[in-house]
Amino acid sequence: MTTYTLIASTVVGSSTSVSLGSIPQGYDDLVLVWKGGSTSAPSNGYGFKVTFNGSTGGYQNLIMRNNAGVALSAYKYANWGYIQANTLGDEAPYEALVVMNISEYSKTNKFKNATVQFNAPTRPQQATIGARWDNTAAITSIQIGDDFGNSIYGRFYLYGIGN
Amino acid sequence: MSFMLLGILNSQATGGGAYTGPAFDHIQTVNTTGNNVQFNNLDALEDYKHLQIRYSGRVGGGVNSVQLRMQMNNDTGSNYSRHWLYAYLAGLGITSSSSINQTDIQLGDLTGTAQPSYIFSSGIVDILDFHSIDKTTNVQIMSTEMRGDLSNGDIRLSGGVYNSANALTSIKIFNTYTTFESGTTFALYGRRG
Repeated sequence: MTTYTLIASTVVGSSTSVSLGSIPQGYDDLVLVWKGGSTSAPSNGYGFKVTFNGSTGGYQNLIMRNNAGVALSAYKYANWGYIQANTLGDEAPYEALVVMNISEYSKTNKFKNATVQFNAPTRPQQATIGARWDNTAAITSIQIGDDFGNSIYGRFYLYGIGN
Repeated sequence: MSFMLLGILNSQATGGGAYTGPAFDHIQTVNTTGNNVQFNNLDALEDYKHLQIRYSGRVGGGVNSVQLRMQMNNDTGSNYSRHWLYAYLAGLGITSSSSINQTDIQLGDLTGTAQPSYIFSSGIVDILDFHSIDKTTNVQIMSTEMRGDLSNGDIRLSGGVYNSANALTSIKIFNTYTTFESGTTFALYGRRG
């Protein structure tokens, strides 16, 4: 009956992307957790991007974000090429801590919803993100990269929640 | 160079000497086309300290969205407090609000059948220390509802309080307008103490 099951994990030293593949379809939801960063300084507002099944279209993003000492701000990225999962610290280490919940990832009668919470301690910046992938395909793989094009590093964990 | 993790590393957490608990267990999933869901006999869940409900939902009635609500112990009195912080799409901004002496806790909006058929709303509801008999019951929610064209909707962090020191015996989740559409699911999980 225990259901918060580790499906996959990996430690990456330096790579342009990470792919978690062959995701089993027997769970209800997925939880993707990582602590990761960029090997070089990112540009302001850039960070990690997430795509499903290698698809680079149909992602909707609504971001509720705050910077230290600045009021909360909302951002919308419509019909985007990826989920804007986090920004990164602007001082070394250029990192973020991220938890992404993906709802009903295997259902072919639904677009896929995700919620993300991240904290980039050295910017400092944190946000809660609502995202939707306008696609009914079951999610069988997840790709993580840097939308500024830098190499990334980190520890990545994928969990399954369900019966 | 791209790093590819080949295959799946199942159940690594149960490997030799690894940390194995406390557990997070599935208790019950309800798929419904009614207008409410009730989780009963919570007092029998003696092994668990906290509960989590994960939902994916949509409603009929030809509306864009309706509010999803929750009550405890069949208590319909003005015994709930609620507050929200959310980013909204209509006009793109952020706001917060709170109210006391309410008759329910609001969980977030559910997409309606005025929106494309594949769009559902989702949320995660954490109910803390539900067996407690010496304090109120606190709930925290993270939910998202977005229209097909992103003309409206939100990402929302909410909190709620059931102003009773009674242990929880039941939870009702409902909306006051219409029925849930096929594909709507509410899954209850327990965290062991």
